[in-house]
Amino acid sequence: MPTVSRKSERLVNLTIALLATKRYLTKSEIFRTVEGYDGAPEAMERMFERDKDDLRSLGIAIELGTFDPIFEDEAGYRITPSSYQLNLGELDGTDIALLSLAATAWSGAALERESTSALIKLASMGIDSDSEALSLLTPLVSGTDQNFALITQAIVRRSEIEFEYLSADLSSQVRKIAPYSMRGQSGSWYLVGLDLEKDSLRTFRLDRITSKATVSKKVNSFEIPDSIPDHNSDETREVAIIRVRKHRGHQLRSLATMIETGEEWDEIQLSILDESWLVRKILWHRDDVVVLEPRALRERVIASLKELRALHG
Amino acid sequence: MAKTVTSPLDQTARLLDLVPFLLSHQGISLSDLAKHFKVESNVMLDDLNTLWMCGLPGYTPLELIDLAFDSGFVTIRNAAPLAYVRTMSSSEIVALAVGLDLLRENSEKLGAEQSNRIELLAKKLRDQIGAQISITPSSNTAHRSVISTAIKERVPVDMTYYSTNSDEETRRVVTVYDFFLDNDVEYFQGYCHSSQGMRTFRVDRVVAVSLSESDEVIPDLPVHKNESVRVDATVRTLDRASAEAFGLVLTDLRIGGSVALQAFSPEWLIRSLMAGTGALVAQAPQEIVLQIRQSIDSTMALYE
Repeated sequence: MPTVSRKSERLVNLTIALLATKRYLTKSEIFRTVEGYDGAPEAMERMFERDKDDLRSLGIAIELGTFDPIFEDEAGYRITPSSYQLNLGELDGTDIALLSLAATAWSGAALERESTSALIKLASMGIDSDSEALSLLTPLVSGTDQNFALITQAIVRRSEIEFEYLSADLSSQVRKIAPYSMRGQSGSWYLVGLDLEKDSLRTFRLDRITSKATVSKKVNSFEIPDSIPDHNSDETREVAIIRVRKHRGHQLRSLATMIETGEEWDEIQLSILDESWLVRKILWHRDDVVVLEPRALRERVIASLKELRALHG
Repeated sequence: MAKTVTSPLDQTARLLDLVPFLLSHQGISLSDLAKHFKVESNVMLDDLNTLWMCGLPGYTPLELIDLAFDSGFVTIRNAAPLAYVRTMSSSEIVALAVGLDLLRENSEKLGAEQSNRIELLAKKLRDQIGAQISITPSSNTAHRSVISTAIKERVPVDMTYYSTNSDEETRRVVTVYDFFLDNDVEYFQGYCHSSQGMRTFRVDRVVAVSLSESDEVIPDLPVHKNESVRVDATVRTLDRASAEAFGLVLTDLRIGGSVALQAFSPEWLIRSLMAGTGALVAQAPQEIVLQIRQSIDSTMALYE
């Protein structure tokens, strides 16, 4: 028997013993009865400590307690079925079908492994999946980023993270973040979190993280605020007024809060989230777009055009 | 992809999940079982052999899990202590919750009852992990489904497509061949009857699509030629937006150095160079440099 199987065999036997027991099992009982513990006492101690960590990393909660606190018995261990067992409340066949379909979304993407095991668990619940009612299609998540699983875990555990991020001038900067949320939008994933050095909320695009994220071992390091301000909210943002040639400028039109149609040109209004980004978009549209207001934006576009002209003289 | 080697922890997780799965799928074939767990058959066989050695302390036949799989079909008995379906990890819950978000992309096909259900399920899952990990549905799924139906049934599609080369929305009739994924972006490929040639499209740029009634026949195809333009440019400043637009390798970029830019459409290339606000400066070929100059002049004229 290969060593790999020996270890998993011992972990499974330990789980069975701790799950089946009604009372706490002491360490010496475990060493005496559970198959796979042998060698010197210290070696068995070390083995048991590692095994407990391993089972915890699989999400299995091992409870430590004493059978009779009055007599100060040796502490013992057990796994309660209620913490071990899946509990998603009451589910029927349609729910199972919807959840199973949801799991298939990760085929080829970052959480494929997790969705496979979730599917197995759903299929083991003994509820017949009723997929007939669903004329739904398989959705598909894009993104195979290795950091996706790491960072979402960190959000759940409230652990701080650190990574290198590609800034606008292509330099890489180390950022320390308390991660709050992860949102997928238009094909990219965005992490929102508190930048611990700048002490302000920042949004990061996952594919611009250039290193593997390091997740702090410490859990519950921060609280996630009830409502995370949306970086897209445009409460008091400045509004740009832009003239766009008819049937052109679709990318800008899709951002418009107001469109006034004219003969050859339409006039659109949009709120300025990121001025540099907007300048680039305006230049991309060449002579199909003219900025009217605000003055500063107009001046910036003109200055960029002059510079471009000089560079391509 | 099916796994051939796994770590002891992976195997332990699988063994714990195997028991309730087998209890609800008595008599499943070994190959189906391996498929469900996405491992190779020999890995599954090793799993079963290991599980067979597990049981309650005592480990006599009375306490051991009883498995039969010699015939190629698997049955399990005496596995009561492990019969529970294991609780989901936070990553598994994230996977399901985000998947449910995406199901809502099908909103046109969903009844009110199903929409409600999906919302309730997603809320139930998110409450378990207390985290906001979500995806905003786009119309991509609905479009993808029409396109994949078209491939299966060999019918052309009527499509409105946004072209970023020319900043135009165009109507086209396309016979689609296949989907492919490149750098996490979904594309499909087909014969465009409107422009009479093979074309590649991005799923996220489809504005509207439906199965076509047209009975266009695909002519014998000339050999498809990719006519790409190449422009030599100098790097004036390091700029993330330009590097991403042209798909440049970051380590190749040095201020003052030169870089080769490639694109299928000269128009797109010129637009992207202008949007780069001078981070990259075109040097050759002359005709492209000239076109850039013209573009700048005609745009500047609007501000005079």
